[in-house]
Amino acid sequence: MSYINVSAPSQHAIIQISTGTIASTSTGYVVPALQNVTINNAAGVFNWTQLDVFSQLAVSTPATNSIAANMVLDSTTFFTGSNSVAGLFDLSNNATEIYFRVYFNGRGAGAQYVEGSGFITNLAPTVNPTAPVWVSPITITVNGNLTTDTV
Amino acid sequence: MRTQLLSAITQAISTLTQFAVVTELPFESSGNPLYRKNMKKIYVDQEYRVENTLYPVLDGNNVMQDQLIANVYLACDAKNTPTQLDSVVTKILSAKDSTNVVNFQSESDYTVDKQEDVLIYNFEFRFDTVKQ
Repeated sequence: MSYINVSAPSQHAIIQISTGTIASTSTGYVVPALQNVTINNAAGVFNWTQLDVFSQLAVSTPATNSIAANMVLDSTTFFTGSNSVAGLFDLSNNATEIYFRVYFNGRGAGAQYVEGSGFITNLAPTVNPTAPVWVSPITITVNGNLTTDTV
Repeated sequence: MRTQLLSAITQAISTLTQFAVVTELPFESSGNPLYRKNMKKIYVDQEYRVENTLYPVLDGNNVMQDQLIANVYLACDAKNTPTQLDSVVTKILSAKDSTNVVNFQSESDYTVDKQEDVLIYNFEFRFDTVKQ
């Protein structure tokens, strides 16, 4: 058994975003201050029944993939962007296709990640008087397959 | 924060003739705190801070909340309470709204303790700030 330890400062879960193919761990930028990350790989299944079989039958259908996270907003990442990649708000607002990697525990040699491309959706920045820092959910709706690889 | 609180309380009670704000810290003299010796004088103690995590984040750069806390003391004769006592309590409590301390939430409350024939008011001011 080998747990995937996500302890900061070097082994935490990371989302890296770029508007071009991600060639290295320094392409584009990293979304800072993530509160949580969820990788959704919902493989589709179609079920049916027939009179000569006493169990449901199934066939696979295309998966729906997405990356969901919650974050504390960083003004540079949210508005300005960096490394020639626009901020998250503009990427969402302009419906720009982005490329992403989700590293499970850091970006060191041998670190595992899931990558793909898709569109940023579900930004909903919010703030309130008792927690006066802007936070927002973010979803990357994946275009096509998720693939896994290592650094 | 102590400086701003001193200033706000001084301004708040400026119309009251029976009380005054002292700039000294409420240290002890001969085993007694100064506010017990000098009744009807308002002493503002040095603030301290309590740090809590407002938002834990995966990369370790947690968003921290600093709570600045300061105590204010006032003593008066329990047998002959000053006629302006209720006013001074109200005005001290309301000073939290005029300190100009950057915060997202401010609170003030107090307790009263009777020691022999002396009433001792212990006010607590709390200012919540986000640590950058």
